Amino acid sequence: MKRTKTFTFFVCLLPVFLLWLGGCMEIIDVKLSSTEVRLVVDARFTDEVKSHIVKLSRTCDYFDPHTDSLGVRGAEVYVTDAQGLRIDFSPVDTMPGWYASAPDVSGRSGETYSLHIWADADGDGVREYYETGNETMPFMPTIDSVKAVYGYSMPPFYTGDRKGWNILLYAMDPPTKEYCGFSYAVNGKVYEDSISNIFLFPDNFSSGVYLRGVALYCLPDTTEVNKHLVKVFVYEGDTVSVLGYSFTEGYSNYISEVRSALSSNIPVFSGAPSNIKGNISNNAFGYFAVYSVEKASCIVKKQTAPMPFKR
Amino acid sequence: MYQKAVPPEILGAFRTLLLVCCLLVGGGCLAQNTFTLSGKIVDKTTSEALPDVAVWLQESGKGTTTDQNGRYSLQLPAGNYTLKISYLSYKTVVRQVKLTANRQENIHLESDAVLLQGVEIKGNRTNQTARSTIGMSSFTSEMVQRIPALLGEADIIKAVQMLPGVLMASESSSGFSVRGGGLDQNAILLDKAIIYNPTHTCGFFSVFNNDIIGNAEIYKGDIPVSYGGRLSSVVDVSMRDGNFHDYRLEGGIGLLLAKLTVDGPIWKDHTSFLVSGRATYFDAFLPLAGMKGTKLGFYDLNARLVHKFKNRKDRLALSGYMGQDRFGMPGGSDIHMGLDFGNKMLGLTWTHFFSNRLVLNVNTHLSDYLSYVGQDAGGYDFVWKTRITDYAGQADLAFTPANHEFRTGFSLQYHVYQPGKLTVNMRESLGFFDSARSIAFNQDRLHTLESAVYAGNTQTIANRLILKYGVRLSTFSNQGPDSVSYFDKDYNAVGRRYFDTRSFYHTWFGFEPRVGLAYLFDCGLSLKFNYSRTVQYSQLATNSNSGNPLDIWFPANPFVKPQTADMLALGLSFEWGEQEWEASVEGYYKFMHHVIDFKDHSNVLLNSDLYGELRMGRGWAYGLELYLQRRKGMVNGSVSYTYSRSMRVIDQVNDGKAYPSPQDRPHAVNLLLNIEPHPRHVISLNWVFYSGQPATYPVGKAVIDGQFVPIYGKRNSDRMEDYHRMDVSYTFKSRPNTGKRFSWNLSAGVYNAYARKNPWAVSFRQDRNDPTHAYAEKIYLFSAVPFISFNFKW
Repeated sequence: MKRTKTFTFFVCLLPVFLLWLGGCMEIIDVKLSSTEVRLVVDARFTDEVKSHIVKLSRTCDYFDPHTDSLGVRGAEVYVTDAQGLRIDFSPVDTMPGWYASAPDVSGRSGETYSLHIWADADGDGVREYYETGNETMPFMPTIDSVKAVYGYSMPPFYTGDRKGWNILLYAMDPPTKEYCGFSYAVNGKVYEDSISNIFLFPDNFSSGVYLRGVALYCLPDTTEVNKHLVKVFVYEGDTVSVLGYSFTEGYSNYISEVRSALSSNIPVFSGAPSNIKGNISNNAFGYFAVYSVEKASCIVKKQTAPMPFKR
Repeated sequence: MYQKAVPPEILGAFRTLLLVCCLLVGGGCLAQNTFTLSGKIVDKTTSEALPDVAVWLQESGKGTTTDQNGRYSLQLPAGNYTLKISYLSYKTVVRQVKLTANRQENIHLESDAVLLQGVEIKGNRTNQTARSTIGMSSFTSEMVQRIPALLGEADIIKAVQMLPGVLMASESSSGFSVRGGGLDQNAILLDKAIIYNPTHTCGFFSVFNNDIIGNAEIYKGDIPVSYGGRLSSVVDVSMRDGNFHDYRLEGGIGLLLAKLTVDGPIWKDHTSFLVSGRATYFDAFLPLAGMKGTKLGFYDLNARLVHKFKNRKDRLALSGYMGQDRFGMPGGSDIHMGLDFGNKMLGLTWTHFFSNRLVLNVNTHLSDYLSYVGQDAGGYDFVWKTRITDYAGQADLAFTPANHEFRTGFSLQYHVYQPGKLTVNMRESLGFFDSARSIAFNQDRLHTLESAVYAGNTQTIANRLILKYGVRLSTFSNQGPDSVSYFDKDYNAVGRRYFDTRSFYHTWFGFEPRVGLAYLFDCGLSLKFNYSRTVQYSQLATNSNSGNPLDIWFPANPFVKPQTADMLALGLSFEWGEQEWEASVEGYYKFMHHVIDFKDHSNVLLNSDLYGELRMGRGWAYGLELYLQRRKGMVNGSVSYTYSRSMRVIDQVNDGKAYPSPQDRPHAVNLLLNIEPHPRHVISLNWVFYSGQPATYPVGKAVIDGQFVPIYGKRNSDRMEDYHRMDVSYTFKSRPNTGKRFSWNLSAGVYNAYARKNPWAVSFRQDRNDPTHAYAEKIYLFSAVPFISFNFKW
């Protein structure tokens, strides 16, 4: 579902206007240059007890359609903590380029971790070594509860133009600067947790404030008009969970940079495109993200009170 | 007595020095035993003084031009002379003068244009100033009037963009780059006040209402010492005086814009007024396009009051400008969003004539630019605004004895910058906060004082050699209270210093020498050379390649050095056929120091430490400009070709290696053609060609969560498609010379006549339907855009 973020909405104003004036889009043929092959790392290590995944792949030409064969096999992948404890990651047979830890592994907030990789990304038959510096797992502020309230989508993150279940968050926003992200799950299935649509919460205006029901999401019910855009419908009796992530500043910036690279290049608001800086050595692309996760759930119940935000 | 032989090299040097001294005092020697022929040249109808009018002696081919107050002066031996006064859009006057004593000869020029519609730049390339000044460009008024403009609104900024060496920033934008400089390196002045954002409606229109423009000077090279504060160019626009004799009314109506100007005497021959307004009515059509509730458009107002004192020595002019753009759209239910921005200017100028040769101009003005974005969502509202305000004064003394034009003065500008202020009001009704609250987020307000003293002289030697020399000394002081971040050479923050008091805690000094030389040959050929240094203390923080209303101005400080530029230029121009034809070649090389750019992925908005986003470096630009113009005839116009390059090296950008600046567009062609088969019919055409805009395209991709994340190559190593466009217009005028006061014209045309889809942006996207496939997509703003407008004058 499309989110209108209030505090950045004006970034969209002028392009909308300019395009309205008669602007159009057209697919064009562009001949692009090539560059050296680099290792791509997508590694996430959290405080959840689960099998953590490190994905290794290679870069390729921008228009190369063969993205299925980019996985890097035969690599040695492990994570170490400050005490030198080593956590090994083994290849996942069904997913080329994926490496998984044992299922009972978890990180700890406040602990530092680093990632080490021996992999042959350039295909010369010799494995190169890649590593990260120490990444400290941040603490996640406690989520007191979440609540589902039916009504028009609520500000400040929505503009009230559609109806659905507003998922309200109750939590203390600590006075310090956090880099929190959110995704949600409906009946255990997680949505919007990919790098392009995880919700980065701006705490510029709520630091030190108790959030008494801020609407993080407005999940549609069957009255939704644009059904083809809907990822999941929510009904009474469903269990909705909010997953909160506490990222490092570096990973939060990385997410923002990736999103900026994925968005359109509009001259009025875009500077020159720039490469994304990760935290892996040896010119690899990507990030070893270390973060803590907090989850809170509620069951969607029939609405008895009037809708909180009326047209 | 024994005399030691003088070494030949010392003798040679002495002779050279003697020759130079003779040349320098030569003007004075020539002036002896001569009489002064002086006077003032004014418009016959309006009594407005006409600057830059060519005054020639037919016998000798010598001549001069009038100054800003329409005054001229010639030192001549006794005798009979034929004085020829020619000026574009005016009938040429030839007058016999017998000079036996000092004599004053005032001349009234009669307009030969039926209707002076559109922008009129009163500058005549044939005059001596243009012949001796490198990079000073001027159009004929008719050429500018006939440049077919987007939506039919003639615009001086669009005219400037047609000059060789000037590049339009992006499709239809009012931003421009001069000789490889940045978009913020142009001083755009209205009655001496800086206009920080000279655009309306995202650049489709400029703030300059062509009906009120009296005089406009454009310097892209040889910038006089009286101007400073910007590296690349000066566009100095002055409002015209109201008519001192009669009331006049002129106006126009087009598809989207209407305008009306009234002027006339308050006290005949002494006090005049001028009021002009423009307003758009886009909004009225938006519901037809399904955009109910959307606001879009602008208005602006100009006013000028001029009083000429009875003593004929003093003159006061009060001028003001106010403009406002609005853009808003409904966001659903109770939500309204808006973006408004506008400039304001108020200035007072006192001119005192001590004599024909000594004139003092004192100007004081206020200039303000404010833009704000807001949203009211019922439960809360927020407003973000950025502002810059100038309080300024300037005194300028011009002394014009024979063969000299000496100018000195000083200026003071107090700048107040408010880079960003965000206020959020949360109301109880929203519920998720404990209580209603207001949150303010302020970037520090900054105060600076920019001052300058200058002196310069233009000296004519034997009516052939023109020497220009002058210097401008400028200072820029930061005033507390302020907090300044300091960074090491790798741009890591190393500390912050607080300055509590209102004292000036840091000052930069600028030394800006400017010299020029021109030699005028009898055959119409002139050879010109120029060196100039310019210093710029305020710059624009923009994250974009084309500029937008939310861009923030910020000053140099102890960490950020002022930008400087050194430019060398050489030019050759040739006129022939009774000034009907002109051809010129100009070449330049420009070094820019302490150039500022932003680091990768910089954040300009709501950043409390903007200076941490900056990266410094240097730049250079060079180019060759060829120009050919025909001023008269049934088919007239101009064509120019420019080859230019503009490069930068910025710390930490592009791995510290040189890269083409966004303004690097090697080939540019401008063609203007007017076909006038009959006095009532004019067909105009212009064609523009630029090399494609530099761009950075991906050279590879990484796949993260199934998304194609682009990996880029070197900065600006690619180019978009070439830009070219043709505009045509046809103007039908009322019958000339009917003696009637009312005249009119009707213009119709097409912008981008052959519907070229010029790329405004190129994006690379992943196909939603086939996620293994990616494609490139261009955004273009306009196809062919027709326009029609009706203008009248009474």
